[in-house]
Amino acid sequence: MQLLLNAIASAAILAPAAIGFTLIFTLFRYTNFAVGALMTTGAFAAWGMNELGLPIWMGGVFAVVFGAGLLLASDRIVFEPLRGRSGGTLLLVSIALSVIIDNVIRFAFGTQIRAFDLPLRPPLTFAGLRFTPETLWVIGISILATLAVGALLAFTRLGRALRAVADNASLASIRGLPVPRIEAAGILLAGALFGLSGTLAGLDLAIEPNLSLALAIPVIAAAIVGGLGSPLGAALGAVIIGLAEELTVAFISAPYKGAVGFVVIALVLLIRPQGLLGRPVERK
Amino acid sequence: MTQLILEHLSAGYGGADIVHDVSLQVGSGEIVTLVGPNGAGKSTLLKSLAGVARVTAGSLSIDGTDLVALSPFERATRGVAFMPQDRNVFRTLTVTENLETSAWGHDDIAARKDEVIGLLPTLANYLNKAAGGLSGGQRQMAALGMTLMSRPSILLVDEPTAGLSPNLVGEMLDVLQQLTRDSGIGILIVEQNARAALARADRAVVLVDGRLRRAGPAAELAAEPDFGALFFGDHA
Amino acid sequence: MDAYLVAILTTAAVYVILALALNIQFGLTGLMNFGVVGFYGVGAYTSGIMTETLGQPILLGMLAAIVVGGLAGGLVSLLSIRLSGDFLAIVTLGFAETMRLAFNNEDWLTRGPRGFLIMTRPVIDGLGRGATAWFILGVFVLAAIIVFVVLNRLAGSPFGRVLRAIREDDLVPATLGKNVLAYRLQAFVLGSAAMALAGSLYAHYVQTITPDNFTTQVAVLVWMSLIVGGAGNMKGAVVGALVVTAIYEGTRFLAPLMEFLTPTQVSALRFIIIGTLLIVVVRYRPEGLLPERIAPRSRPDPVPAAG
Repeated sequence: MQLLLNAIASAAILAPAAIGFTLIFTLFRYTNFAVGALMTTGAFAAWGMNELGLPIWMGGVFAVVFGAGLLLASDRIVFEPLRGRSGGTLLLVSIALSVIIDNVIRFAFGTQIRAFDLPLRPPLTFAGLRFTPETLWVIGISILATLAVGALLAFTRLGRALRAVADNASLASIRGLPVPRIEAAGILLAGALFGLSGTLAGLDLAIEPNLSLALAIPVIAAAIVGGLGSPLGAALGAVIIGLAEELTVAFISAPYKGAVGFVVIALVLLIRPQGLLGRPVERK
Repeated sequence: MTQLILEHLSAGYGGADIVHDVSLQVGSGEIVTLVGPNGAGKSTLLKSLAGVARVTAGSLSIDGTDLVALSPFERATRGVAFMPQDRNVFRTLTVTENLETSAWGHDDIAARKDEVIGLLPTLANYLNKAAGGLSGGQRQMAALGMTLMSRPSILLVDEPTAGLSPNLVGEMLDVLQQLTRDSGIGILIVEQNARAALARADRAVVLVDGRLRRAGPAAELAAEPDFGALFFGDHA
Repeated sequence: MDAYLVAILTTAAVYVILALALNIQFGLTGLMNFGVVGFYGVGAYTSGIMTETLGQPILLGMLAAIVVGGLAGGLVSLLSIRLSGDFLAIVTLGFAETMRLAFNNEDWLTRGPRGFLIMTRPVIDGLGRGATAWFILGVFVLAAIIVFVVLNRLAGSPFGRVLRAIREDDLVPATLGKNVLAYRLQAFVLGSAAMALAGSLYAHYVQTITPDNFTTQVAVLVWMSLIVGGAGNMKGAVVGALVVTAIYEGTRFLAPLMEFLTPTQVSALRFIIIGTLLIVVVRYRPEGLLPERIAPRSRPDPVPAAG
């Protein structure tokens, strides 16, 4: 049970980012590896506000806004001019972007490990489970965010339009949808989710610039496991990755937690290249 | 009374022009059928009107508004609706969602949806199915419904009966004819089943090698003895 | 200054080999290997373990590096070779990260983050300090030349033409009865083995290796070399590696001009510059400095069945 709780806590951090990653993938059909760096940026943004004396929740809100803006800016500057290039080229570019962002953080904040200004409290115990109040917050916020995004996509006009553009952008344009504006909304939403995931990661883990790769691989793994199609899939993928990570920690060795994403990606791609929940993805 | 007017229009996809010097008008309440052999540039002409292919020379306007410089999205908002031959529904969305999405920017979506279902009553039978899972006839009907959600004045239809069984071909063409009578929409249609299309059209134009060869009342053209042999070959 | 130039050229030779190796995988065959540092690191540690832990001569260390690197390449291939483009890239990235974790945590084998000390060097005894440096440079340049000659031959051979055909279109070679997966596997193993050789050379040159020597940033430098030089062209890979080393090492001279920056900041700035350049090159000159010369028959001539 403790393992399950830990797994859900891990999944809670990954889920929003995995949903954002899936959104970008369905809209533009490329793997944005910078997701890890953007999450790290979110963590630093929230931490920075916290350092200035603002409460953590306000830091989180700032991180969400900052993440949305940063992803939109990076899309305009880096990715938009390269639309139509191969997925491999865009992945390479996103890795370069990731290195740039990491080093901007390193430049600005150094390599020191940071943490939010949280009061030290003894972990709570309930029904034999040990957890911190922060863990509960992380899980709660993540579930709320996942449900909110799911509802947005399923029930709102913008959500329908996002799915329509992801499905067939040229038809969307013919049918009178303002495709560039809808894509921009999707990018903002994804960036906000990256910022949120970053804040949650900061609550649970240490905040340091070397976090990017350790965050990017499980997030991408969760999205791939989830089939790169639906937010529900991505969230479920996050739970599976979280579980695999905790099983690794419990039965193999804690440091190799970082390798879990890789192994799961390899396995899933071997067995079901379209992911667990996905339909086959049209690839460029 | 709306008029879509093409004057000396040439069009293509960036390379050499495929359509040359075509002049044509489509008005409210009439069906104009575009016929011609395969590869004559019929689809390209239609796409250039919708903004998917590029107009390289000549003019294109609707009620005096120049369309040439406008994007597909902007043309759609000015009353020109294009129904592509394939990939014309959002496969992952339900039929209802397909319809609702096609009225982006309007706040009377529910009213428009009811109106479209009134015009195409069979839609009501599969409103909640994912469009990717529809049969060929259902899919074309859904695609037509989507184009109507924007309350277009001119409808550009690219082979709406492609892949449909013979009894559905007539049904689809009847629906289009009904639309011109009920809602005064003007329709420019490219149709392989030329005889069936001509029978329901008011006027017809013949495109050969990207150029306008003939134009006139549909019945008149259809009655010409060498017409079928010249332009339809085995499609007659 | 002289000694510094020798040091830069020695490093450049290592990057030349890495870029050539990646060129076989990506440039010729189109396989996206972002796990360059995984194979590079495997080669470095294998060689170190061979010479230090097991006390074997350096040539055996290099050989072991090549073999183990090739094996690792084979394993990663078998796991993922059916995948195309970005999915393969993610798997290789994961491999590299897993290797880095292993270097960090398998203390008994790699001495972990404290670093693995390597005494063996590719020199004959009795040389002075300067002469030793020049000798090592000579060995490295020789190794780079050998790798270049071998891979360049291969690229122009029927084998190379099949690889190019695979890159352009999986289906064409398959219809000609070529086992596409086997060719992809061979290209990947070959490249990985060459990366491991580079790792071996590097290990015996710097003499202390830590897991931090094998981060994604190094992979970015190698990719940058190939993209700048011109993917698919072996000469391009060499030129690219030299240019990137020049830029990377050249930016080191920024440090004295910016004394107000900490060493961390200077290092960060260099990677910001490198990353930005990579994006700029991809956008404005995707074919690189020396574009691949497309043979008169650009759909590569179907190799005669006997070849």
